[in-house]
Amino acid sequence: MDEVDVIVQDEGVETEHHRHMRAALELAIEAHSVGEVPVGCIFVYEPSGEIIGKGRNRTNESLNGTRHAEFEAIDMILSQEKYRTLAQDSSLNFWKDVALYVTIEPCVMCASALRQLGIGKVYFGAGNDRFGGNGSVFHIHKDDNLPHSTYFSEGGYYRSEAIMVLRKFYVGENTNAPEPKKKKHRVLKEEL
Amino acid sequence: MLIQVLPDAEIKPLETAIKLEIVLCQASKISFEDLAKLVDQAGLAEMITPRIHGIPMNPPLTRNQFEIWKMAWPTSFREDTNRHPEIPPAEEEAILGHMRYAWEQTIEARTSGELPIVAVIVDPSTQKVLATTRDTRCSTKHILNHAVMNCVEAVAKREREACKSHSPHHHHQHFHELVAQQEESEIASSLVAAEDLDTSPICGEKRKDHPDSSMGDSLSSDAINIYNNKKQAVESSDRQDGYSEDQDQEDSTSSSRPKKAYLCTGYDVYLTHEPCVMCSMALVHSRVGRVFYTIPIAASGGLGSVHKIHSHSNLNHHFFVYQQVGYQDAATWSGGDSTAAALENENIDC
Repeated sequence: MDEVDVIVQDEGVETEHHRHMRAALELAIEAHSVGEVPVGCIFVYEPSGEIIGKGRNRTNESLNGTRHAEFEAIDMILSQEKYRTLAQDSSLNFWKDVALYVTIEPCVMCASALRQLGIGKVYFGAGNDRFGGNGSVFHIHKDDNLPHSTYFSEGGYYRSEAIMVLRKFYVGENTNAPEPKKKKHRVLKEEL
Repeated sequence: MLIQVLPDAEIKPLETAIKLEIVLCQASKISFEDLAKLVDQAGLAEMITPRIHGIPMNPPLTRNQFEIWKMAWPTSFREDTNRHPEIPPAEEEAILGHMRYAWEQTIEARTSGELPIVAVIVDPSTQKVLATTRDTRCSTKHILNHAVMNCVEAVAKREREACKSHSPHHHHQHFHELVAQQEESEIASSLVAAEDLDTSPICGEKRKDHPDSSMGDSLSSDAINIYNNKKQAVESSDRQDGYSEDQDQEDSTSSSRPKKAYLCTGYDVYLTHEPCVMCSMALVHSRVGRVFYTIPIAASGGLGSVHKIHSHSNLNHHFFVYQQVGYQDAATWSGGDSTAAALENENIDC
C-alpha cells in the first residue's frame, strides 16, 4: 500500500465505525457465498444513523465489471423516490451527511463516483494496491485537480477481517463451474 | 570466462548440426584478440568463431521496431499507451463513420433534455455496433448515469440475454469461473497471498489466453488476429439478435464463447466527449481495446486531460486512446449545434 490518509489500528475497541464495518463485512460474506468477489458496503445517513443503502459485488451475475458494491448500494438508494428527491435538491447537500463503510478501499471508478455524488465520509477496511482510488494508486478523494469537493477518507477498520474474507474466496473452489478446478495447492495464509 | 569452467567432457561436437549461439560477454569487456586467444587455449577454435553482434540497447517503442529488432535479439514488446497513436489509414473511414454516428445521436439527446453526450461500443472485428447509449443523468435523476456507464451496461445486458437464450446454465457458470479468475488478478494482489496467484496453473492458462495480459510478453500481431477471428466466429454464432449473421462462421467455437467475450474485451469505444475518471476506470474494468473521443474535457477528463487512466503503470489493463477524432466535423455532424462542443470548457464530468 502506497499511502492511505489514516490507518486505524484495530485495538479491540468496538466503535460505531467498527459496528458499521461489521455490517459491510456481512455483505462481503454474502457475496462470497454466491461466488462473487467478497466486497461489501453500507451507506449510513449520519444525522439519523440509519443505514440507507447496502451493496456487495455483483460483477459475475451482471456480467458487468462495473457492478461493484458501492454502485449496487448507490443505485439502491437512488431507486427510492425519497432519496432521489433529496439528492436532487442541491441546497440540501444530502450526500454530505452520508458516510460509506466498505470492506476494501474504493477503486478509482468508485472513488470518482463518490466524489461526483458529493459524499461526506468514506471508511474502508483494507487498502487496494491494484486500483485503489483513495490513496493506494490514485488520490481521487483529495485530488485538487478534479471538480467537486474532496472528501474525508480513512482506512483500517477490520482490515484483517476484510482481507481474510477475500483470501477465503480465492483459495475456495468455485462449485458453480462445470468442471471445478481443484485448488489444492492453495493454502489459506493466516498471517497478515 | 564461461569457456574456462566448462569441463572438457561436455564439449564434444554434436552429431546433428545444431547451431548453438552463446552470449559470452559485452564486446567492450574484452578485446576480440584476447577472446580468440581464450577460445584457442580451451581447444575450441575449430568449433567456435566468436563474432560481435549488435543488439538493441533500449526496448522497442513501436511495433515496427519490435518486428525488426526481434530478429537481432529476443525482445518483448508492450505497446506504449502513453503515446498518442495515429489512426491507421486503412481504418480511418470506418472510425470516422462510427464517430459521425455517435455525434448524430446527440441531436436526439438534446431534444429530449439530456446532456448531448453519447457512447458507442463497436466490435472491431466485424465493425458491428453493439451498443449506443447517451447520458441519462437528467431523466433518471441519477448523476452517475453517464453515457459510458450506460453503454457498458448495455453490452452486459446483451451478454446476459445471449446467455439466457443459449444454453443458460453452461455459459453462465463457465463465465462465473472466468470472472472469478479475472478478478483475482485484479483485486489487491497484496491482500491475496502472492504465491497463490503466481503458481496457479489456472491463472497461467488464463494469462496465456487473455489478449491484453499476453501483450506484455512477445505477443505477435498474429496472435491478436487469431484472437479477433475467434471472437468474431464466436460472436456471429452466438448472437441472437441479428447483429451479426455471418452464417459461414463455424459453430464449433461457440462453446468457448464466454471465455472470449469477457466483458468488453477488445471492443472499440466511440465517445463524443472525454470520459470522467469514473467512466475511464469503468473502461479499464471492462477491458476495452481502444477508445476514440472528440472533445477533450480539461476540467475532469480521465483519458489525457487530468489523468491518464488508460496508461497508468499500476493499473492492470491499458488501452489506446485517440483524441480529438472528428474534432473539425463534430458540429456539422450534430446538426450545427454548439452545445456539445461547449462542454469542453465546462466544469462537468462526462
